[in-house]
Order: sequence, then C-alpha cells, then structure tokens
Amino acid sequence: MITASHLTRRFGAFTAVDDVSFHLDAGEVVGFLGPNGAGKTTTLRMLTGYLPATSGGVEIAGLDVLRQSLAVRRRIGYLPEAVPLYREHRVDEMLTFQARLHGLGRGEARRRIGAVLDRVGMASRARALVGKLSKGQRQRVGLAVALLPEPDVLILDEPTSGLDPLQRIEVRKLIGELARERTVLISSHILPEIEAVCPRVLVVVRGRVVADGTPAQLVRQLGQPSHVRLEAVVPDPAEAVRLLGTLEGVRAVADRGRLGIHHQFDVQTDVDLREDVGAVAASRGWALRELSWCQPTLEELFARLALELGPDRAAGADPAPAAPAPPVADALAASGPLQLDVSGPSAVPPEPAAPEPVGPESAPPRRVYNLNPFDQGETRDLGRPKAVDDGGPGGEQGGGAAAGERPS
Amino acid sequence: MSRRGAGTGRWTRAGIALQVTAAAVLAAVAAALVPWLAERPGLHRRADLSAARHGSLDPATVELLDVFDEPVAVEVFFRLPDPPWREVGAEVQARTREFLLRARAAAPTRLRVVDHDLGDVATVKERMRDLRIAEHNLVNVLVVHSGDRRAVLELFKDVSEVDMGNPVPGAGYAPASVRVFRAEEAFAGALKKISAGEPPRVLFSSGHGERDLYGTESRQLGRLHTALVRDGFVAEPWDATAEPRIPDDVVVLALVDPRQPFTPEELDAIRTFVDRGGRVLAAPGPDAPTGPRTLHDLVREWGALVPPGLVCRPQVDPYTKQKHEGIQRCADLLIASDGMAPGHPVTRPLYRGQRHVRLPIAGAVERGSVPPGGVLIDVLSSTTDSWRDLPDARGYYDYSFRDGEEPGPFSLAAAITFPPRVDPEGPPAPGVEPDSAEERESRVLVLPCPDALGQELFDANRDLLLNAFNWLASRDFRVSVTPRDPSRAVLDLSDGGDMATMVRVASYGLPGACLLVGILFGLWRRRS
Amino acid sequence: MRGAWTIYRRELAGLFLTPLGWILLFVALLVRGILFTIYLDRLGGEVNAALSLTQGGSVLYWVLMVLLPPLLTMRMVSEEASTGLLEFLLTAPVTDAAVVAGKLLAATTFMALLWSTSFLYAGTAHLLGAAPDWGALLAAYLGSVLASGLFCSIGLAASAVTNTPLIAAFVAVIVNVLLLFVPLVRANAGQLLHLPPDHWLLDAMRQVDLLDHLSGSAWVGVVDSAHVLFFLAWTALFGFLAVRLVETRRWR
Repeated sequence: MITASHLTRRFGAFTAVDDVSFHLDAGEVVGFLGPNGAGKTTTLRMLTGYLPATSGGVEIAGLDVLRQSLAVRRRIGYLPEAVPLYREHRVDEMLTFQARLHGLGRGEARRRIGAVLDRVGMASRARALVGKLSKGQRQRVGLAVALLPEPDVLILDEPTSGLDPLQRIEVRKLIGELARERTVLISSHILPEIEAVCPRVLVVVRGRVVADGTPAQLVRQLGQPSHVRLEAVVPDPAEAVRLLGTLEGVRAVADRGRLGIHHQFDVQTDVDLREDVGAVAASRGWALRELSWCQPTLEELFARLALELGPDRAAGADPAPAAPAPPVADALAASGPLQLDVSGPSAVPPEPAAPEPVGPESAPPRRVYNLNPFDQGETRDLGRPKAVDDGGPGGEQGGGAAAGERPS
Repeated sequence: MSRRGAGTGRWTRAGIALQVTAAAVLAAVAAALVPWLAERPGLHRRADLSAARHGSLDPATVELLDVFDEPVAVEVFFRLPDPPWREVGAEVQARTREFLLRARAAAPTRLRVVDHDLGDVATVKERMRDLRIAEHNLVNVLVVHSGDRRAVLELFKDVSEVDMGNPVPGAGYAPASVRVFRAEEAFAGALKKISAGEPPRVLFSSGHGERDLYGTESRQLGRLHTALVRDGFVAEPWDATAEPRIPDDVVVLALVDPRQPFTPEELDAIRTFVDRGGRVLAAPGPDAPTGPRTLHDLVREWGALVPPGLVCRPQVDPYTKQKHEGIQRCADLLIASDGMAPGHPVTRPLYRGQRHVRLPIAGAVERGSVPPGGVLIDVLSSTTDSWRDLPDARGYYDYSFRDGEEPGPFSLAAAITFPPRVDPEGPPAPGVEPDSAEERESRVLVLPCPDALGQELFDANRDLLLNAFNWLASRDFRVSVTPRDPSRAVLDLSDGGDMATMVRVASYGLPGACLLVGILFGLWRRRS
Repeated sequence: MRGAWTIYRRELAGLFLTPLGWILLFVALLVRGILFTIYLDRLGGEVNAALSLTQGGSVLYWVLMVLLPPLLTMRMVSEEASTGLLEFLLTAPVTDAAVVAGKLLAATTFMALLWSTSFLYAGTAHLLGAAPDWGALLAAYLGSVLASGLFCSIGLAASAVTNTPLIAAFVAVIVNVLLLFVPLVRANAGQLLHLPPDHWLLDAMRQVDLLDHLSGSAWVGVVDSAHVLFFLAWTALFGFLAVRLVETRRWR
C-alpha cells in the first residue's frame, strides 16, 4: 500500500531523512517510532506529498505521490501533528468543508459526518466551535476530519501528543478500532501506544530506519535476552550456576553476585522457566527472595537505540562504548533498514556482561532507602538493581536507565 | 552513508529556484503580452455604460484613425497661462488631457500621446523645430501628426473657447469660464485634415495691387497664409506674367482686392479655371475702382453684383445704450449668428457656436444672374437697421443714413455654386476626385470685404475664412459631434432636505447596520 | 475548479466568522459614507461626481485600496502555514492553484462587497429624486473590483513569502504603494529621470500604470476589454507567483 524507496530529504546542509525505504502492505498497522527530531514528521509529510523528497520516491496504492498527487491525496487521511482546524468554525462545518474538498455529495457528507462523529465520540459537540474544544476533543475532531473521506491509508502524526492519560487511552482505543479496517501509519515518540496498537514498528533515529519488525521480534533479536531472575541464599554459587544450566531451555546462567546474604542469578532462556527454577531452588532448599521472569521491553530497546545512535550527549552519558553494544546500531544502520534476523552480534550475547555499558566502579554510589520492610534498611548502590521494581513480563513502565540497569 | 553526492540537495534546490524564477519571468512576460494583445484593433472591445456615452469617442472619430498606416501622434505642448486665466487654463488643459486619455484608450494602437514638459525649453524648442512648427513659437497647442503630415490645434481657439470674463476685481467681476469645449471635434477635424490626400493648392492672384500674401502689415494676409498652411493648404501667389495658365492642381484661386483690371489673358485663365470646376474666393474691395475687367466685373458673370458703398449700421454705446451714427466705426460690422446662414458649411459651425464675424468696410452683394443650374446663397447678412453708405462726390463716406441710401438688410457674402461648363469628357475638376459627381461643381465665394482677411482682424474671422477655404476646396473637416456632457443628478443641499437623508443613510445607517449585524452574528455564533 | 469553489466558500465564511472582516467592513463603510457626504456637499449635490469619487479618483479611495487587501490576505497563507492549516489544505485533494484561487476570489469578493456600498448611496439618491448615472457607476465599480483583485493577489503573494502576517501585510502595502508611484514617476519623468517624453521606458511604465488604465475606461463609464484584460493578466501573474511561492514552501 505504501512503498517508500530511498527517501532522502535535506534542509540545507541538514539531512532530516536519510535514505529511508520501507513497504506497508494493505491493512497493515505500523508504528513509526523515534525520538523527537528523528525525521518522523518529515517522512510522513513526504508520504502525503506535502514535502517533496530530495531524492527517492513514494508510491501509495501504486500511485506516485508527486506525479499523481491528487489521486494519492484522495486516498490518504492525514492528521498532522498540529491538528489543523479552523478555530472559528463549528465541528460539523469543519467536517463539511473536508467533505466538500473530497467532493462528497451533500447527503453522503451528512451521513458520514454523523457516523464519523459518533465514532470519535464527538456527536454531542457537533455544533461546538472548534476554538472552544479541549485539546483532546480537538484531537478527536482532527481524527474525524482525517477519517471522513474513508481513506485507504491513514497517516497519523503523533495523534496522542499533548493529551492527558485518559484522553490518550481513548484515542488509542479509537486507533485500535481503526487499525482493523485500513492501512495505518502512526508516528509517535511514546512507546506504549505504539506497542498497544501496532503489530509492526519502524524505528527511526537520526533520519534512518534502524529497526523494522514486530515488537516481539525486535525485543527478541535486538534487546537483552529474556531471563528468569533468581535471588536466593545459595551456599555454593558455582554449583547453583551449574545446576541451573542443566535445565532444559536454558542458554546460559549469569551469576550476578552477592547481595547481602542473597545471591542473584540470571537464567537466560526464551521461555518462562520460573517453575523449573523454583523447583530447583525448592529441591536444594535455597531460601528464595525473588523469582521473576524478565523480558526486555520495546521501550528499553528503543531507548537504547535512541541513545546509542543519538547525538554526543548520549555518548557522554555512556562512557563504555567499547563492548559490542554500539555495533548493534551501527550494524543496523550500515545494513540499512532490514529485518532484524541479520542483525548484529550482540543480539544473543552468550555472556550477559557483554552489552553492559556502565561499569560498576565508574558509577558513584548513591543512597536510597529500601522500602522492603523485611530488609534491614541497608544502603546500596542504585546501580545495582534491587527487586523493588516488579520486573514482571513487559510490565516495565518506569522506563529510564536501560543502560544502567544491569550492573555486573 | 548517502548514496548520492553531498551536493545533490543544493543542486536540486538551485534548480527549483531557477525553475520558479523562470516561470515567474515567463508569467510576467505573458502578463505584459496579454494587454498588448488585447489592444490590437481586431480584439479590442469597448462598451460605454454611461448614460450620456461621455466615456468614449464618437465611432466616426475612431474610424478616422483607421485610415492611417502609421499611428497618429498627438504632441502636447501645454503651459499654464498667467493669472487671472490660470484657473480656466488649467481646466481646459485638464479636460483636454482627459480627452486625449479617452482617445488613446479608444484606439490604443493607433494613437500615441506625447506630453511635453515645457520646463525643458531646449528640448521642446528642438522638438517644435522637428515638427516644423517652431516658427509659430507656440505654447498650448496640440500637434497632431502622422508621417510628415501634421495639423496644429490651438488650445484656446480650436479646442475650446474661453469667456475671459471680467478680470478686474470689484463690481462687474466675472471669472473666466470655458464657453465651449470641443476637443473631439477639433481632434477629428485635425485627423481628417492630415488624412486627406495631397494638400490642396491655393493661389492668390498678385500684380494688381492685391493684398500681399506674405505681408505682415495690418491689411496684409500673412496670418491668413500661416493659418492656411497650418490647416493643410499650400498657399502661393499667382504671378500671371510668369504663369499665364492656372495649373491643373490648383483648387482655389483667391482674388483679394485687386485694384487694377485683369488682363484679358488672365481673365481667360480665370474663366477657364472656373468653368472646369475651379473654386474662387473673390474679395473685391468696396472702395476699389470698378469697370471692365475688374473683379467687380468678373463676379457679375457668376451672378453676384457688388454695388458701390459701404454697409454700415448704427453703433450702440455699451453704457448709454444710445445708437450712434456718423462715426467711422459704423462701417465696422459685427455679424452675430442671426446674420449667418445656419445650414451653409461656411457658417454652420459659427452659427452653432454662437460666434461672431467681424467685417470692417464691407460691401454688399446683390443677386445677379447666376450661371445656368447655379445656386446663390447669402452666407452672411447685415441687420435691418443697416444701410449702404454711399460716398460723396469726393469719395468720402459720412457713415450716416441719408436720404437716397438704401436700407438693409444686405447680403455681405454670397456662396455660388454651378455646374462646370465643360464637357464631361474633359479633364476632371481640379483637386476633386473624378468620380464624385456631387463635387463636380464650380464654387465661388464672394466676400466684398478684403479687410476681413487682413492681419488685424484675422483672429475674429479665422474660423470663417478657414471654413470658406475648406468649403471651396471641398474639404469638410469640421466634424460635428453631438455634445456628450456627463449626465447630471443634483441633490437638494438645503437644510433638512435630501442631504440630511443622505447623511443618515451613508454616514450612520450603513456602518451602524454593519456593526449591528456583525455583533449579532458574533453573539449567535458564540451562543450555540 | 470544485476545489477552488470550496476553498472560496470557506475563506469567505472565514472572513465573516472572525471579527477582522466585520471590523474592516465597518471602518470602510464609515469612512466611505462620511466622505461620500462630504464630497456631495463640496460638489454642490452633484451625485454622479461624488459617486465617481467613491469609486476612484479620491485619495481615500486609494488608501482603502492599498491598505485593505493586504489586511485581508495577510493571514491567508502565512498564518495558515504556522497553524498547520496550509499543510491540511495542501494534502487535501485540491491543487495548489485551486487553494490560491479560492483565497484570492474570497478576498476580492470581500472588497467587491465593500465597494458595492456605492450602489446603496446611488439608490438612496435615486429614491430622493436625483437619478444617478447607473451605467457609469457600474463601470467604475467593475474597475474598482478589478483593481482590488490585483491588490489582493499581490497581498496573497506577499503572504506566501513569509510566516508572519504583519510582515506579509507590510510587504504587500509597500508593493501596492510602489505600483501607485508609477503614474507619479511617469508624470514627472522629465524632471525625475530626464527622459524624453516619448522614451520607451515611459511606454513600458504606462503598461503598469493603474491610473492610466482606470481613467481611460472605468472612470469614464466604459468597460474596455484591453483594460479588463490588463487587470486580469496581472492578477493572474501575482496569483501564479503566489502558487509558486506556496509551492516553494515545500522546499524550504
């Protein structure tokens, strides 16, 4: 449905989009993910034909965006980030205007306006002035405007930016519904909504597509390997490592060292082996403190990609680029946008120490209070994870220091 | 990383900038070309929506412009007159310029207007010399020319007539005003003049004590000559001793106050000329000797008798309203429009324009026997209180009405036309297109008042004389255009009259209504 | 075509949905009304002359003509570019030319509405018994509308240059005033430029001399194809320029 080939766009000396190629099949819902300033909006504008590419081309439904511009525009519903609406018009007037632009008949326009307003939940505010609507309502009206011509392709630029969480959920739900019917391309710098809606994600960093795949694929192939974390009182750590390593499905076991009287292990595996690990612990009589299934999230991955490919400040905050971690991005970038199966060497690192960017010595110790009532209130290095975070599968909402999360 | 050179972006942008610029330039050229094209005669359309059609020229005038191969140029040499006529001068100049603008708009490709800045004396002098009008040292003239033919229109004579009013402040003060403004007529006349074929040739007989064609004294004809040349004639003296026969290309022969008889050869030449369809202006002096072979004798052959004596009329004192006789000024006749033939081409424009003709020391014309098929029309006539003053034995006039003197009215000028007495197979009449049957006639204008042609009173009689010569030469350049002054609609300005209503509507009503509607509309939008 | 019509309706409605349109209309009506009555008074109640002064020839007419179109058009592109509405319009299934044409027509229609109040004055005079020269007024009105169209297209082009409406208005006013300087320079070319009066440059200047075009036709009650086409052509030129400028926005 959408084919972008070698899209490049320069603004003067600055290259906003650099040789981006991708393809969307009809009915696909794709998230366009990237930090602010990564070239998402520029790419979307090129897709809609608003901006011509410096080089490269876009075809939508087999039509060249620049040469058959009008035909393409008829097939696209585009909601720019600014949600352009005439403030002095009423909601239904704005929609009528859009209907006229698309050449809809009067009756057809009225029917569709009613339907589309119902859909975005704005039917009761049809006579309200656009200028008096709240940001979330305006966003929904914008969506209604984009939906009105019943386009084959829906391109939404940051549809949830500036919304409060409640509105965000509403809009996300709405998009989720739409996604069932048409090809949708959503750009965002916020992961959860992409994750929630899009089966496929394109990650753009500094004008280049660095990753393309389903969130699961991306996570599996790009992120830290999933593991079962075990924290227990272990008499012989080496024996424990050996024992855990014998479990079926375990690729490796990392000894993460001693925490007080407890010892921490990461059992790297693709499947949830908590029961097996728990059984081992029980059979050996290890006093369990934590047993959790840790799956790297897309967010973690995204933050890593963004940071590692980001400008200098990322490098400054990340003083240990020596390990294979940077090649993740570089390899991706060098090989162009691609499916991640061919990605870099760190995709499945045998040793967990490999991708760790922050050495424990280099981070100054910081004091935090442990909220665990059973703990004795000892202070510890923040760099060392303590299992106060829930660590549930995919439940990592706090985001943040992906790089610092895994000390050796 | 990029597949293309780093300069691609810059070059693309430069290319697009170039494209945009080129497109803009092309569009500008097109925008300039469209009006140019629209001015082409075939594509040009004008619709005058005004009630009086005052915005456009008479179609006949526009048609006149079609005749010319190369565009007609009007060169304007205007300078404001000094006070107290500055205002009226400015008005005439403004109206003339406005007329020229309209004329140019009506025929943009065929008319060029060049407005000279008289502050730049040297350039203007040079230009006037180029146009061969420098000798007149004129300001406030329009020179209409095409190719090497030109006509000069004087702003305060041809284009307009100005009533000078009474410039003296105090009682009786009257501001100067425009009495007649006839730019279009003048312009159309000038066009006709310069579009006509070869300039008609006028011969003035000489060698019999006639008025000198080039003379600058008060009774001589220098200014008439200038005016004729400017009006598109070629005027030359006829020396019968050197050129006994009148050449074929001569159209008009002017015989102005010969004091001696013609020789028989000359008479033959004149008769032959007239019989072929030639035209004659005969101005026998009322005091000139009569007898055989004189001009008096000659005009009798064409049906005009010039009896002896001067036509006089009582002079009215402008203050006392008393009539005076016995003074020489009684012979100085001022002929108003009631003394003009309304329909004759010579006097029609004067009659319409309510103008005057001044005939000092004029004789009368009586009807004699006109050649067969001929017509004699009295063109000018005196009033009923005039008389023909006869000289006493010593040849002196007493300018008073005595017994035995004939009372008026008298004819003062007669226009005679008759078919040429020449066989149709002969050479065609001079200066006349051979196939225009109606023009194949001989014309004689008898005006027994040679002083009317002289320098001194030339301004007063200029139009009469030019009309006469043009009629004689079958040149009808006096175009009459129906007056098309803008229609008038006047409101009553008195207190409480229409003006108050107008103020209420225009100054308060409409803006107020607009404000009200706007506020109501805004409230309505906000409410729901 | 349909796109242009849709944009035109939207823009025209937009002018009246914002206070700006009403304020401009009110001010123009007020000033024109007061001046019409003053003209009428000065001219001794001569309705036709006063009406023609409201449709050209007076200084105030030109002040309105130079100031109002830029104020109307200043926001049409530049503000929409900054609010993103331009992005919306340019990704809607209408051509750029249709967008510009619609906006241009809307601004011109507003100006036409403004000038049309002369008909109300004339109608009032007619009812009061002084029947005006309706044909001449109509011709003068057409001239005013055509000239407004030209100024509106200049304003639109200026608006397409910049993202700041006020700068757009300023640029447009400057261009308009320069355009009106042409007749002035032409009239005094001898002293100012030391040109002979039949210099080709003066002929070229006559081409863009608005006063020459108006006074040769509209102001004397004539509709002249050459002059109508002059205005249409130059309006189209600046409209075209505006289209290209909107287009170059995509490249900037």
